[in-house]
Amino acid sequence: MGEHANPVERGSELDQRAQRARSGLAAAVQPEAPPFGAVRARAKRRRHGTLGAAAVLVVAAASVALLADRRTGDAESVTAGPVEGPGDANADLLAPGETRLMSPSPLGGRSTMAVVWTGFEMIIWGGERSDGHLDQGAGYDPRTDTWRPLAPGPLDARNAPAAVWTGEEVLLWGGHSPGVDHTDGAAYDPATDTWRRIADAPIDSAGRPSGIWTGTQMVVFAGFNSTEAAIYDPRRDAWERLASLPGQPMPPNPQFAFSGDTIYGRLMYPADPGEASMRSGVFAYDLAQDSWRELAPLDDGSRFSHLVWAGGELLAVSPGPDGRAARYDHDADTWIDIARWPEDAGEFEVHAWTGRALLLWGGGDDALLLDPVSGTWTTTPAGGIPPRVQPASVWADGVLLVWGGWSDRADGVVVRPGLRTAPSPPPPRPSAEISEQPVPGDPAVWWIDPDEPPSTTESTFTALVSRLGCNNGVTGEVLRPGVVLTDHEVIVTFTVEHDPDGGTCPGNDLVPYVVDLGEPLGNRDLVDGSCRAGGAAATTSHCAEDYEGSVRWRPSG
Amino acid sequence: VAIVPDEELSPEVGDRGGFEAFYRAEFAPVVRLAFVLTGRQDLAEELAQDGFLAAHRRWDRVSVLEHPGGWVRRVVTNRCISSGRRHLTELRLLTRLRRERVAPVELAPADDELWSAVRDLPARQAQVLALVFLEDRAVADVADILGCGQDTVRTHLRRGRLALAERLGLAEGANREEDRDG
Repeated sequence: MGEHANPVERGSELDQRAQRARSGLAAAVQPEAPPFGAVRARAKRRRHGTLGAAAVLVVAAASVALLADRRTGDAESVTAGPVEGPGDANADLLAPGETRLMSPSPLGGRSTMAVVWTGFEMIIWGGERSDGHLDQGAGYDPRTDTWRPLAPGPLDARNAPAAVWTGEEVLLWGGHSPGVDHTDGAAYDPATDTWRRIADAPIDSAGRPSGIWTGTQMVVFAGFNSTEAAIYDPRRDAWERLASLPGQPMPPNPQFAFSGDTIYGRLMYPADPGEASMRSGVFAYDLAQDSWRELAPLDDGSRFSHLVWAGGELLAVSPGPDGRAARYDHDADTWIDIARWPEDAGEFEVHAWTGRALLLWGGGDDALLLDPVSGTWTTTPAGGIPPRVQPASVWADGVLLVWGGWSDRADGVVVRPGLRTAPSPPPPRPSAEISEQPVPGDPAVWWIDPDEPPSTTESTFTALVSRLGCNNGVTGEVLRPGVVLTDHEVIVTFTVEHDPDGGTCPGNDLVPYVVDLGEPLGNRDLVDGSCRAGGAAATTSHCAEDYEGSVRWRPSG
Repeated sequence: VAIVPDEELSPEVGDRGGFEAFYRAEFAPVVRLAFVLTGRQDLAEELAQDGFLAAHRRWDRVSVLEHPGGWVRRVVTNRCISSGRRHLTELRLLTRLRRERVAPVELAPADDELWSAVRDLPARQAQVLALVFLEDRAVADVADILGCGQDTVRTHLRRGRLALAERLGLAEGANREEDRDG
């Protein structure tokens, strides 16, 4: 045994108290391990989507897995993809609009490095600086603001390898070093700090390769000097070629976005066969069919559009005086303008979808936030570090991490974008049955009953209400809620019968309550008013921004 | 939320290289650790089950680690403090148990006060103090479990102890660092 952290035998009052508490806890908490088969069976039921918000994420990822497996004809499904979904686990690190510098990194400054977010760390590997290419890596944990160097890997120094996170490993493939377009790759397991080589690909990287994790496999596009693509299956350590791209990815930063079953890419191709002039377009690759099709012209006048999959829709953002943001209407195969590029806005190097807004970061004092619903731009503090070229960046469950960006840029910043403003107060609507204010009582939060989901044509829905405060696990009587009806939202605020005694603090039980809106729900969000700004639960995990937030249900489509 | 392969979920699948024994031996202590960090036995059990499911999926790799139990503790303690993951687990649990009443754990008031104070510490300090106070772990063990450096553990330990002592009105000697080095 090494250095002891808790020398109780020489203990202070605190150690003695802890020793007693340990014994007391061991006596009070004696759980029996349920049969593991039952644990697995319950997880399997969850996978098939019967449990509300969790199920939504599971089903989305499962769809990816099924589609990908259908493509390869492989009936056995092994999936461990990046399915944590948009989360806010690190939003509590900073206040909205707050930024901080990262602690010094063990790595020297660089550009074009591989970067992924694992859910715990930003993993960086390789890259390039003025004196050559690099083969070191490091992990940054934003919760502890600490770095750790990665164990040395099997790959030669290189820049810009494709990188994905599988849920277990970082997969790296390709990249470039002087005179070499690499075909090899490796997998890094952060849980064990170990590497393994993967099989060589049937294509060469050419330019800057891109990688996309489908949930079971890694798709790679060779780079902006190639139309080749391939797919890697880590279970079989085997590659397959994919259909050639109908054009070459746009340099210098190829733009791809993944919806869960379709990969969108900005490609350039000869305007006419045999002609040197090139035109560009947005293409969609269907994973299940292994085929490409061109979308309607974007007509943004820019080669440098950023493509973003933004919570259910494809966005394209083009900076510059004639720039704009547009969303793709899948049904009509057309682009719909959202907003003009804001005047005086600078260039940006990094984009991230926060779950509610598109964050565009380019260093300096301010970053841009685009709300695609309202089409409005706002600014949020960017951290005050200078602009840089091709830095490492990830959206890390509530905060943006940006590090590096050339030889003299060995610093980084953590950014939590500011919150959206609260909606305007809705106009009053007379109703004999509905009151905007709940009956006075103790605060409560609520969720949708997953067994009885709302319908847009119904005027009632079932909420599962839970007392917010500590009360020995008992919610108690649910009081008549306050209901505010707007054109876009139905805001429901619950209270429960006041209990002056309180109690210990396990979570309280859920009590079903049928809410009568007096009119059909329609195409409106259902919102927990206790989660809104100033609400009793607004700062609790029940209302975590960028994850569930205050929206308990949203109509599909 | 992780997707679990069908073949690994099938109840009829047999033991995978000692996993069952590992699960039986480690389940209760891991639940107690999660309880210290969450204050709820039902949620602690749910989070622990998620941790063991994760270990089962990677058992070929986890089983060859020097301390597979440490790997599970890292997963579970991180899930305990990760509000997004915890929220999902909590919602799932609440939905499953919504018509049942969950009896709170009965602790002596002094014990409850101590563990509540641990939970109120910043997340990383709470993880370190939970491992030290509940499992009597050495600094090196804690560093391995949490995947951070020993100096980081010492810093969190020192700050956490001072904060706890102040909150609980207990004496915390000025030379505790020297004691721990012994």
